[in-house]
Amino acid sequence: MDFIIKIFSDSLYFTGPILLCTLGGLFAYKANMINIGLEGMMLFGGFISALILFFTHSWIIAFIAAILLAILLGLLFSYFGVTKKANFIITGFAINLLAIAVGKYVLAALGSIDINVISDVTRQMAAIDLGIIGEIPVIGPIINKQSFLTYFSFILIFICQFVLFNTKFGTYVRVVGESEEAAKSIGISINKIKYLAVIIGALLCAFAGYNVAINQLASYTPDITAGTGFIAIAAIYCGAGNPKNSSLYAILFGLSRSLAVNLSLRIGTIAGLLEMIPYIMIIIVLTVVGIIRKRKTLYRGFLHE
Amino acid sequence: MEIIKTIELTRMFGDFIANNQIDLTVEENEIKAIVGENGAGKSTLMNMLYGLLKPTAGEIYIRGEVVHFDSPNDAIKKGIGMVHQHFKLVPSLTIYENVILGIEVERKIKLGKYSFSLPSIDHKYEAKAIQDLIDRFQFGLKSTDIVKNLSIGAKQKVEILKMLYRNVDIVIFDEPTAVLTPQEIKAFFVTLKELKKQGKSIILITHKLQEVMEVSDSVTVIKQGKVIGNRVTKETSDKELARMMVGREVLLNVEKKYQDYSKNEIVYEIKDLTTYNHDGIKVVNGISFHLRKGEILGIAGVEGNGQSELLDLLTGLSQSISGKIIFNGIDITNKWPDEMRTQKIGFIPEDRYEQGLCLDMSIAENMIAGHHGKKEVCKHGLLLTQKINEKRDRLIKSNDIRVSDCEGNVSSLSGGNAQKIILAREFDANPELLIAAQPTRGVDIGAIEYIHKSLLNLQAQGKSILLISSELSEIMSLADRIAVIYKGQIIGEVNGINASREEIGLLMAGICERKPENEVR
Ligand SMILES: Nc1ncnc2c1ncn2[C@@H]1O[C@H](COP(=O)(O)OP(=O)(O)OP(=O)(O)O)[C@@H](O)[C@H]1O
Ligand SMILES: [Mg+2]
Repeated sequence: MDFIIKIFSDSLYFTGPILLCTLGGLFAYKANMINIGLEGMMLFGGFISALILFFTHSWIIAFIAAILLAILLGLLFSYFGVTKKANFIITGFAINLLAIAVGKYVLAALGSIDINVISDVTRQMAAIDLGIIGEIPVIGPIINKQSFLTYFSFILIFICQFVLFNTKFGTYVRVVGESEEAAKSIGISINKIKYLAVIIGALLCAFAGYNVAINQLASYTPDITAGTGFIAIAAIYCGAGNPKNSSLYAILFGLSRSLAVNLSLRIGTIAGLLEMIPYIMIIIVLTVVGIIRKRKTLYRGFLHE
Repeated sequence: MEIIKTIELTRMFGDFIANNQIDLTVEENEIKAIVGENGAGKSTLMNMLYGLLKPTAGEIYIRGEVVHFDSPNDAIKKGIGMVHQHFKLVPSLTIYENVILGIEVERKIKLGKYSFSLPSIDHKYEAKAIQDLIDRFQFGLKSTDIVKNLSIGAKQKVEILKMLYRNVDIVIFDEPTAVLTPQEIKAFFVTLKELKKQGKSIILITHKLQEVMEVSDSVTVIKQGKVIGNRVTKETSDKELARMMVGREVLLNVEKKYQDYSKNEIVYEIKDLTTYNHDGIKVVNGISFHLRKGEILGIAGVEGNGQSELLDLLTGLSQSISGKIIFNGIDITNKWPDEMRTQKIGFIPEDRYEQGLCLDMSIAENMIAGHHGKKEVCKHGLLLTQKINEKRDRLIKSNDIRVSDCEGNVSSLSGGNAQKIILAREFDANPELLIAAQPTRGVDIGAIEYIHKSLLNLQAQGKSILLISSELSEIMSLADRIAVIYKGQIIGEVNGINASREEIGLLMAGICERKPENEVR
């Protein structure tokens, strides 16, 4: 029983960052700009917050730094991808490579293999005790003692759903993605909407990075993201950019990551193989989703949705 | 009073003068028709009035006041709205969301005498407001319907509602009837008259001169970017307008010699085709027909009865779940378009921008699209640029395609000239069978005459043609046999030579009195 609870509890733990990246990235996806750079934006977020926390010992300053860097990255991505109309796949790819390179460079300059901030991370930062809720049988131990950002990521599902379908901004994002001509003809500023969509994504990715580097691991190394940004892209695609549906896939991927970790703790030597679970899961899910979508239609080739 | 007046309005694209010192006057509360050949510059002129293009020189006056528009929003503020040739709607949104797009209404809360607006769209209020507007103009729509499920005529009404909701009093229509069925056109004229009654001024661009005669108050004729005449509608005739536009006498109806083809061999046979659309509805339901050598078979019907889906099947864009397509004895059921092309079947698709052309590619590339593997333009897998350019120049010349820059992209062409590119390409491939859908949609009368002549010419060479068109007069003047499609089935067939409008009209409405007489098997 404890083992099962552990698996589900860890699922939430792993789902948090995936969810943040997923919900962030889907705004850009809905505006018809797939942001491949989610991974890099998350890594940058983790890096800057660990670095600043290490030097200033203030998590607030670290958090603000992560936000500022995210805005900067969002502007950078949009400047090339929107204003300059460069290929945004390449732009996103560049951000991913840059994130790894900058991190490695700074680590080399510091002469360290990681940025360890364990002494600056308090219990309360890592895991919030929900008190009475934590005592509910089964459910309690599963949801208790997660970080604030993890809880926030689940609330965010509903916020995003609301924003996308019930606010002007959300409507415009969908309109821009579906028909730029329509947007243009009634004077919606397409570039502004795309910039905003990308920046929101960058911000949430930075939160994800902060969540992993500070709340969960209390240290930064260039591999802390472990493909979270790409997993998020898979989730966004599978859920067709709908916040609720995409989040379900994000949770599914979180669960498989938890399975991988917990099972490999038990099994020992061939544990390495089990680490493939989340990625194999993605391939299977993507294939199945693709086949189902294809089978529904007798039409050939690419059609606008 | 003059509500719009332009003085020496000029627009250049590079060195090309699309509008050359245009003086146009629109009186308040009149319906002003603007006619001219493809590429004459009508859309360019309207785009300047609506703020989509900036004039190179000249002035625009609205109610006597000089205006400079930076965007359509500025034009709307001055009371000018435009319904485009190609609709600018968001398919997945509802009618009311489309109409209200850009000026959404947000929920308000009141605290004492202060009122705040929340960042939350008031869907209920919006749906009701638009429903009221719909009812006021008697459009017969439901504001909560999703736009992608609407017929083309209904979509156009949504575009009109968009303008009405913004309280414009001048509405520009760029070829509004090109995509409508005869019934929808009638309904559209009712709408136009209703708008006029409510005090709006209207500018109407169309290639159909009988429409000009029917609804407009005055006409301006444009030729090669210049105004060449203004007429009061009552004092002119479609003949005169045609002559002014084209500069010579035009045959409004081509002459056709009817022949008996019933002894000729069958070249193309369709047996029991059936397919579903995206929503799982049987849109083509057991269609069978055949085409003999040298014959033109017309398929008539009210739009939305399965023509488009049938066309997709015949051109290899979708798959049939039953039945067969046999061409010259070869089974080509569910073959891909390129395989059909190698069998010498030519296609003129119904939506030229979606399926017929690649807008962002050059004219030359579009001229060889679908035929780029042929020896004449491609050797060892390499495209022969010089040969392709020669072909382009030859086809531009022989088809009288008006281009401002022959190196340019297809997106810079006017609608009618874009259509001519497709025609030139398909005719040049010398097909044994031509499947032509709406071949004259949006092209000018001179070009219609040319296209109709070309089709008959192809027939005279012993080639077969399948003609799908919502333009009944086109089918009646070209087809040897006319099959009528209704709810995904061929409901009846009549001979072209003695077909009457009434008889076909009844079939189109689904009323079938007699069994088709000359159906084989
Ligand atoms: N963006 C552009 N760049 C270059 N040339 C253009 C551009 N837009 C239009 N033109 C040229 O200007 C001329 C007028 O085009 P316009 O679209 O106004 O014609 P039109 O009268 O509306 O024709 P149609 O009846 O076929 O729609 C055409 O020769 C066209 O090739
Ligand atoms: Mg035009």
